[in-house]
Amino acid sequence: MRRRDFIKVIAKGSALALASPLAADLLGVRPALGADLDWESAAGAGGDLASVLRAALARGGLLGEVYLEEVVRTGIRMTDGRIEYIELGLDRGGGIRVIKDWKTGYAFCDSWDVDELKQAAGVASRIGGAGDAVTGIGALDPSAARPRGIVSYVTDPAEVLADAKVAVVDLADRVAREYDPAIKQVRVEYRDEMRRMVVVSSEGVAVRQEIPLLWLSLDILAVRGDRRAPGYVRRSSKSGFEHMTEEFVRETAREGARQAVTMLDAADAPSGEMPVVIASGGGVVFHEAVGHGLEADGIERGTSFYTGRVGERVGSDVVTIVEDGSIPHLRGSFDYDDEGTPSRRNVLIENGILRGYISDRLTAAKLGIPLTGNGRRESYMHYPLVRMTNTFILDGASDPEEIVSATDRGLYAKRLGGGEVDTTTGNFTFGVREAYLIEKGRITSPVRGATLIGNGPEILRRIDMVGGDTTFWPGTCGKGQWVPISSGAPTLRITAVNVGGTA
Amino acid sequence: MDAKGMAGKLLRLIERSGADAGEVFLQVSEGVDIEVRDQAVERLRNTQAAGYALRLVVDGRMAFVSSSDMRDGSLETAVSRGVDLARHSTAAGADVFAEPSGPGPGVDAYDEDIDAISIDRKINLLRDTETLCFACDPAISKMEDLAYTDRKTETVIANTAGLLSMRRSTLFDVGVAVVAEKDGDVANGREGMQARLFDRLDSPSELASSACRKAMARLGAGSVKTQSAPVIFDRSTAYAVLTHLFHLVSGERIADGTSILKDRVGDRIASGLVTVVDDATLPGLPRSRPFDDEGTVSRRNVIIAGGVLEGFLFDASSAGKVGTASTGNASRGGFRSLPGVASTNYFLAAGGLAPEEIIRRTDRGLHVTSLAGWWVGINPATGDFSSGARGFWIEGGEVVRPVKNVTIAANLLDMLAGVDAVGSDLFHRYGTAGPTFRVSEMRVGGT
Repeated sequence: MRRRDFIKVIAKGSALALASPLAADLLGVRPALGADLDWESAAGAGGDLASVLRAALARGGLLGEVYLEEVVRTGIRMTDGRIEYIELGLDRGGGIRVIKDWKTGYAFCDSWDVDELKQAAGVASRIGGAGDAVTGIGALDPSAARPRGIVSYVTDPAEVLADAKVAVVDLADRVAREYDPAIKQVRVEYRDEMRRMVVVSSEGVAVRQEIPLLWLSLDILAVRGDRRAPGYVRRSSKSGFEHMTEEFVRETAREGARQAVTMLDAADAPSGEMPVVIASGGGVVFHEAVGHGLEADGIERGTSFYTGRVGERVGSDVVTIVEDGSIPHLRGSFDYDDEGTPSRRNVLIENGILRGYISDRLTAAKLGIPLTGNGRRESYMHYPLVRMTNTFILDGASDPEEIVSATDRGLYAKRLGGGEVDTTTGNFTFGVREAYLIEKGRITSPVRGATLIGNGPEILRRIDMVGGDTTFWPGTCGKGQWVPISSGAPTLRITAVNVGGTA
Repeated sequence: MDAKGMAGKLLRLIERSGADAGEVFLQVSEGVDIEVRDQAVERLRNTQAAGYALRLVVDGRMAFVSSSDMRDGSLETAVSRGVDLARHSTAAGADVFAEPSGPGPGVDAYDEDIDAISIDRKINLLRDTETLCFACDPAISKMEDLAYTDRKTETVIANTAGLLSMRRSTLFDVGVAVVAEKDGDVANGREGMQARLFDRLDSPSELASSACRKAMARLGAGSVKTQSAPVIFDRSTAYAVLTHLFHLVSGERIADGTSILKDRVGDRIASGLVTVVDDATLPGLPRSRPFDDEGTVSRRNVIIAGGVLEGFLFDASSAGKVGTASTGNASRGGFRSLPGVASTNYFLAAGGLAPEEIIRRTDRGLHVTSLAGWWVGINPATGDFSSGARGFWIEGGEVVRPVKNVTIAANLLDMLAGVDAVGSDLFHRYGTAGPTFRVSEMRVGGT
């Protein structure tokens, strides 16, 4: 169902205004990049941004870079049918980066004022020693970096009336509550964001981009007698508001409610080493326990397990791991990364053999490896770091049902919780929100409180069956800075994992 | 920037906007982040940030607006947008704004010398730490992390109830992580701390020797058999148990009825050795402040006294929902974040035993020095807790070998009831802190 239809449908139940051209004046923020900054001329040779770049490189350096950003975000939280908060965030600012002697200097200001940007550039330029060769500033060509349609949108969420967003949380709350009488508490969180950014650099990068982001999550508590069980679901995509269809909202709410009700009957999880089948969507394990180890900064420092192992076998031959920021509308996607590099598909591990790493400009230049489009930052206040986008295990040849039926006894991890990993060793711990026992090749009773403990490099060798049903799960990855990501995986089996349980 | 003047300007805009009530939270901060590698500054970030948040009430409904854009026209837009949003809200906003009640206690949260600390002194703190780490032992092969951060922050809170409060604070943060390699085994060790005063930070030699000692001790670790055993939590791991306890005593969980402790005030819920306190008035600690992020004056809050549950922690809105008063525990993660309930200087009170004595009195058990995934390992509906753990195995009162890749599990309330020894080594390195303590029995999962 298209968004317009959805608005009509929900309008029957509650008095709703339709999104109209007036929306922007009432609640939306007009795109300001066009209004405040004449992009084409500012980026040109005699323009303001070129003059900021010259200030950044006044004391020499390999790279000078200006990043401008404006973000408009809305958030609504509903707890038990009441709106707990409704919020609007407006941010704008610019950051200047200078790389000299492989060192990074960074400064920012809460404005796009050219004098303030030049002042920040002066601070950033003080990094490194004096007397470096001054790199010339390449010609900036704003027409070179065209939108690629990966994060295209129809309706800017910042321009949608608050009524329509309130209707989304209202519907999610109602659907979850109606799922089962055991559903006692429902918390719905809706968020949207429109980020507009410009990056120009002395290497000739000149990129302008708009990135929409949507989020819907439900936190649910089911209670029956003296049993209580939580359910949690989240969905997120780099899409316009047209993606928030009625069916999408209903499906999300039902999924969270289903999990809570199912887990009411859960017994304590077993503990000890056993085969674990991870259901489709459990890619977060590989994001945490393998993906971080393939980021080029850890390789360059030599702190990653995967340092110097390109070409070596690091996993069983059914394992192929891909990093791809160019998949349309996934939470980790974009047209260009925050250094202006186009996103692309990168095969990191192919049939068990390590093929390469993900990089940003600094690490690619230092290590002499390709630019992979993984230079990302949290905001204009942050310098770019090597970060993942959408990381996933490629579909394999097994039938998901066959993977379960081939397992005599083990754990079926249907929905994983958060986790933690030590990137030096690859040791990880993950919570499992929804798990079941596998007995004689069949999924039987639900179990609660299971954690998976293991070592990333080790489990890659222990994967012996991979299904063909990859799905993605949205997340927010922390590495001193937070960025939106997703991770994906098909149903797969790990022959032995240490399960921490309470039984 | 004249922070008070800017807050006053925003307040006047609110008063003219048609809102019935409103609050301004304005924060101006500056500081530096430094990372050193191979004796050189690898990254240096200069931060200078300012922004504000508004809470606006129209017809008893509240909305929240935040912005870093301080231009005159933008301020007016933000206020009018906020008023408009409030009309869509059902969030109760009538009684959330603090009444004026004086400046609050002196808490020694500002280092008067911060502007005199040269950038070289900050860099040298890291350089010296790096040198000393590599000098500790030939097995120390790499630095995984070596970072320093400082912030000087001015916070103004003003509201239409007549409150206008300002506070200044400084916070220093240093962290080091080393990697040790020996006989094909790899282990890391981390040490770090926060302080309100620069001179309270550990010296480079203290930081280096602690991080290196942890890494070296972890080399050659193995697993243990799955069993039930006493577990000693090192003081560097006490925060995990305290953080999970916080979520059971947070006013938000009391107000929404989801805490399993909501009807237990006055009950004995923990061993008599357990006293847990939250106190932002203690001078010079990492979370000391004269008033909270809604302007409520700070006070000492005893949560558990000798095993008996005494009370909960509230901000104004959660307190309003259950008909009590704020305990001064409203915090914001910055001006962009909504206020919510958070702990301040939150700790398990020290007991009488030296940590070595607790080990000596343990016949067989696990001494946990590091936890992994602890924050996901809780079921808030039941209190069931599990986590990955590393540490040392104890036999006959002595450490016999390092242990890794094990899990520990128990119900959080059973753990509190099972605390049978509390150490004397409480040290407030971060907001949440505790001494070494022992839980009489937990499930230890290994091979």
